[in-house]
Amino acid sequence: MAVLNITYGGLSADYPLDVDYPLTDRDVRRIAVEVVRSGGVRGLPVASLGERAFDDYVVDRFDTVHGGRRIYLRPKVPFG
Amino acid sequence: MKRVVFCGVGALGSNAVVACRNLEARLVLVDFDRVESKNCLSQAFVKPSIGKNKADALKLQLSSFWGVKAESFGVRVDEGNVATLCGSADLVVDAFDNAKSRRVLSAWAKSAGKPLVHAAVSADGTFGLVRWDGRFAADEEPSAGAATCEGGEHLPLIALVASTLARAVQDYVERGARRDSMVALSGVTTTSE
Amino acid sequence: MDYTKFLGKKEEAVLAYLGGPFAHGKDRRVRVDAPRPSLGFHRFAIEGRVARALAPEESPDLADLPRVRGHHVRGWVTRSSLRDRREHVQDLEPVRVLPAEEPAPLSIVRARRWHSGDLVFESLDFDGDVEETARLRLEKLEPLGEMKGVPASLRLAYGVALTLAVADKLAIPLSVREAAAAGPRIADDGEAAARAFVTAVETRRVEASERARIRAIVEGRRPREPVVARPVRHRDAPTLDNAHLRAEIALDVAHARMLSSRNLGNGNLEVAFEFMGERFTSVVDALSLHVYDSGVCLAGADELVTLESLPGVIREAIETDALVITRR
Repeated sequence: MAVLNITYGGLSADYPLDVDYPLTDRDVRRIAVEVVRSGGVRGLPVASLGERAFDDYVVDRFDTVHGGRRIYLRPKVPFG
Repeated sequence: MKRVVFCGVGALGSNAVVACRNLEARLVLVDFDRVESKNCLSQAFVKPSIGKNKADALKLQLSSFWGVKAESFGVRVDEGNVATLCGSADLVVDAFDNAKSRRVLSAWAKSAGKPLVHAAVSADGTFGLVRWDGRFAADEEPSAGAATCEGGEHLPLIALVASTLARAVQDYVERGARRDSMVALSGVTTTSE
Repeated sequence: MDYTKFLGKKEEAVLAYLGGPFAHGKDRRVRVDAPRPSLGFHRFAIEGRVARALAPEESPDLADLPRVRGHHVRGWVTRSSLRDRREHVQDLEPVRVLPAEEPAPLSIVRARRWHSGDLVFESLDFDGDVEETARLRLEKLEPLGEMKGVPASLRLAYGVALTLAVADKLAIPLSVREAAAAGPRIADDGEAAARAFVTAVETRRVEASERARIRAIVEGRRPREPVVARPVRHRDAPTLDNAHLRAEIALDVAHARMLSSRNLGNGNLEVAFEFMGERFTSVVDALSLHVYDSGVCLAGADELVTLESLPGVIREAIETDALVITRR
């Protein structure tokens, strides 16, 4: 079980994924496009989303203390 | 008194330093850059500071406005001076605006065993994060010398990320806690303890 | 009362067996008993509506059957009656029971329409100069361009042959139907156009497969459907045991011919079938025959069709030159 957190347009929301196998960064980006477009991510209403909306986004993966996995899909943060 | 070294006092760094002014810690400010008039839009600098080195200007503002003593070093951090600048720190704060300098800090902190917390913000000013070293990887700038989100319209989000960073510094100085956070327009989310 | 007198009388006939559960005679269709024979003409013992293959036979006299003449390409024939280039989808058919020595590409083939509606090979015609010249150009992957006296059927066959030759070079699997979508244009434009077409088909195929994979991952996390108690099955209800037979009948209703089926476990059935001369492989629910993976690009709408309605959807894809086969 993993939780995918997607940040887009200043909004951020979680989406549970029933996966116990590794996903590539490309998989994560495409999954995000699929689930955001379908309106399935509560708290992330996006009227229209391009196929390549997340191409330049960064995927971070962390294991939680409870044995789960969190995957973050977020914009690049190059500035300070 | 603990020493907290802020590397980079631009948008995130300067605002975080101001928010840390009540901390029981010695604040050390490092930045080679000078204050430009446009910096006053999103950074903690006031008009009389324009033209001064950022670290020196912020030190002067802290002293003049709130009577807070700080140290300043108007130099660029690199492999050759990072140990000298940060060696006596109890906590190093990375608020640089470029991946190269961030990596210099990370590499040194790892080898020296120094606690290091990073703060970073996206170019469009909609997202930022505060992460402790080990869970942070520096993102490259879109292109060399690309403008940071220095327009004044991003100040609320910058201030939110800077405040989150200041809180992370406070929690570490007071309790040794290392909390990661994500900051979006919708709010601040703690992503690890 | 002796009911046996109502049962069909026993007789023998030479029929073309072209695969699937049935063989067709002049006035009836008979179910072929196992073991089913190889494809070709066979002498059958027929009793009622059931036939049993006895032995292979030479082709019988086909003179009474409707004749079709056209150009050969990879076991298919393009119809010589072709006038309008837009008709190419309908005027391209596979020829069954080809001789062991496969006809040369672009050769002129005579075929007859068997009782099942399939074309069966009858003979080869003599090539004209235009066929020989075209064959030489094909070897060099050159376009037909402005070559004079090229009938539409040869132009289509040439485009298909050229496209398939390029697909072979690129090691990209392509069916005759897929190649036919741009056949006449590629005959005119040559190798570069064929290469662009084949690459585009492969790109669409990869994208469709990628989309399906991502959709599967996403669907894997959805809460399980509520479990509904199944009603007690009576004798005629769908079961896993009769899935093969039901699939065969569903395809037959849709004028497709089942080639094989394979139980994939978890109630899934893989079905290979032939439709409009093309081979397709789909995965369906063994009980409902709802399609999980049609094996063709349906823009994510696979589950909206059943095995019975799938051939109609495929026909539409073929007729709009949009066929992309994703599963082989």
